[in-house]
Amino acid sequence: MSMRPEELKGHLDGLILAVVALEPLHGYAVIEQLKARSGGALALPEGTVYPALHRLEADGLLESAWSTASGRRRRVYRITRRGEKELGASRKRWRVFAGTIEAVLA
Amino acid sequence: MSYLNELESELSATGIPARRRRRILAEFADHLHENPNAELGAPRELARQFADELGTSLARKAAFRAFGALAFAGVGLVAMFLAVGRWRGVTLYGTHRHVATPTWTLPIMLITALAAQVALVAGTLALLRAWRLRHERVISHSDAVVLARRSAVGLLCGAVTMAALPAIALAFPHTTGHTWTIFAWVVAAVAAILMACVAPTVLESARLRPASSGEPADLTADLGPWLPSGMTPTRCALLLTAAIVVVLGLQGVIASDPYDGIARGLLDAAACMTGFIVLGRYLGLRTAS
Repeated sequence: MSMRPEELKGHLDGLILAVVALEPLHGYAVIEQLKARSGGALALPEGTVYPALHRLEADGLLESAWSTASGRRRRVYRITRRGEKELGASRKRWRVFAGTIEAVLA
Repeated sequence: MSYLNELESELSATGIPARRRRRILAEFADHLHENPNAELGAPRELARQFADELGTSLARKAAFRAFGALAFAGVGLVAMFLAVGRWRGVTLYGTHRHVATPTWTLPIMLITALAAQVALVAGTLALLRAWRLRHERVISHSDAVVLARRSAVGLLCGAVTMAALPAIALAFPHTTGHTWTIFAWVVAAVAAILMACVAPTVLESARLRPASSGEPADLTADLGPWLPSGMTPTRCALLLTAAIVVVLGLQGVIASDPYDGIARGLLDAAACMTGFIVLGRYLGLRTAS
């Protein structure tokens, strides 16, 4: 079952940080990782990930650099120390949120 | 028109700078090369999302950086004033040792005294709003406008204020002394460089703003947690002016010149209220309603 984009609101930053924390990735690979790790459930409009990547970088949570692969330039993102801290906080917030909803819905 | 051309024209229309546009287009081109059938979304929506997210980040960054530069300038200015006042006997009106004050310094000191207060208020309010909105993924267009204005006015008045130090050094070269004069020029120069370094971020935040609509907030929203209920921006301003009269009046009493204290208090309070009336709407202290 795929999730609606509005259900991801507020969690996209944490999801992106989580996949980039595993290894440096370019934009397309971030989206592919999100799909793969969610078993295809995170099928958000692909373009919407890029503005979030740029903002996370502007906020100092990600950093990026050009690299060349098969003769093409691509921007590769990696998590910063601040990004790792934010990812930890994001995971904590999610556990509290999920626990609360679970307690009511279950 | 190809998808990338359309995206470029929409990004340009929202105010995304050329360098950032080139990078976005290169990333989208790479994405389409990997998957030519990718559903990237409508160019207009994407451009708006870029403007919303980058504009939000930029507006906050401009406010925090402007406050940082102003904080350095403020601390430097106060420290230098205390040093010249306590050890050398120089005051805003001249010196205790009956050294003649050059006429050209008076308008400069008056302007810098006013500019210092506007810089303090604008910079602090920029910080307050940026701090209040620090967790927002996207802020409204009106909040971004207010943040950019507060940062810009703070920086501009901060830069004007720093002219006070070289002015004193030039006006009283024999009284201030060699060491103080060197420090005055160094503090003024470092503060000016810091403010010049922040200026591009503030200018960029003025050009790239989020498009999201939202109710414009006023001073009471910025001071929210510290305000008693029923406070309006005008009441806040009146309370502040009353506090200024009391504090400067008491200062006059302590200095055995209560009339001078009260007179200065009333003058400063009038300047504060004038600032609120003239700049209140522009700096988002009060709204139209």
